[in-house]
Amino acid sequence: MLASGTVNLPQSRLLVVTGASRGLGVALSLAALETGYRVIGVARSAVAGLPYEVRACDVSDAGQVAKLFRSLHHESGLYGLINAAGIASMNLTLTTPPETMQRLVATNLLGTMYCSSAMGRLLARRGCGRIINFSSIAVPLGLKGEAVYVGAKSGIEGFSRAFAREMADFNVTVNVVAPGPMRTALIQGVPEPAIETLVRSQVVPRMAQPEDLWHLVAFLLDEGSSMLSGQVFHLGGV
Amino acid sequence: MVHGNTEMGVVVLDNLVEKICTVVAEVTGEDREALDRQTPLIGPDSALKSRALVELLLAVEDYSAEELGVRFDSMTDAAMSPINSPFRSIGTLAKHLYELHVQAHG
Repeated sequence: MLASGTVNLPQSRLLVVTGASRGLGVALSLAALETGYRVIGVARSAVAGLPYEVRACDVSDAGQVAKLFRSLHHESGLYGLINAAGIASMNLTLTTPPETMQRLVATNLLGTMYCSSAMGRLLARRGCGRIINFSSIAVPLGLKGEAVYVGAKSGIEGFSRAFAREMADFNVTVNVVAPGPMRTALIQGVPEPAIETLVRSQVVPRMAQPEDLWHLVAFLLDEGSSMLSGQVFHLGGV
Repeated sequence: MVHGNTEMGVVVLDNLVEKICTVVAEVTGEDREALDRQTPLIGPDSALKSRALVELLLAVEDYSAEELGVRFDSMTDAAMSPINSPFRSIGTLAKHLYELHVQAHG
């Protein structure tokens, strides 16, 4: 029921979804399939048992990303990229090991850049497309204990704004979706009262569900959204 | 060893120059007859602005892979260097593609 009545049916269009083996990546991929899109998922290791193909690729590895997207060069109907791959680590900066900082930046920020660039080259050839990147409500709120994560996600927002201008020449839109807290592995370990406080601070003070996220993503994927680019959309509102 | 001075090498180079001139004319709207080996592709004297340059890069990548059987990688810092970039001019780009072709196929 996730995908009911959201977009024009796009059966011939292919979406690439990163982080497609778990959490929101799975929810978005399933909703996209239900809507009629074709989906190729991307995850660190190939996964069986999902109703779409999942190709193995570590998005923080530029070589693997280049190889993956080269393999998509001749796919018909290539239309959109949903960069849902992401990791979090809730920790004060003063107690976050450098290796964790590097991992957070590599997966969240560089992974988004590598995939956006590689997909952008394919979409530029086709003269249309959609790229949707992911940030977080943690950015505008500057959440304590998430400074490194916020740094990486802020980078995604800045990158996407500028990249949107570069891709506008090719009728490719680039936007950022920034959800508040959602029930995924990313917020496991965050105390419940902290989550409730965050949710109450949203303009719409309820926890977003996967279908809420899909409605926004589907709207941005829609043909009619060709004038929306370089924007950050806060699901729930800040 | 690049055999750019052999008869066959000259023909291949001429064909590459012709191909690049055609693509540049398409992406810039410039008169094909106004383009030659000396036409700059990057720098202040180039007619290629960002969009046209990207279109040329992608066209060259596709042409290299499909027609020459070589992988031309424009995603390097050297690719846009004003000193040693193959994109300094139509002639240097054609020569670079020819050298890649010879390295790959002899």
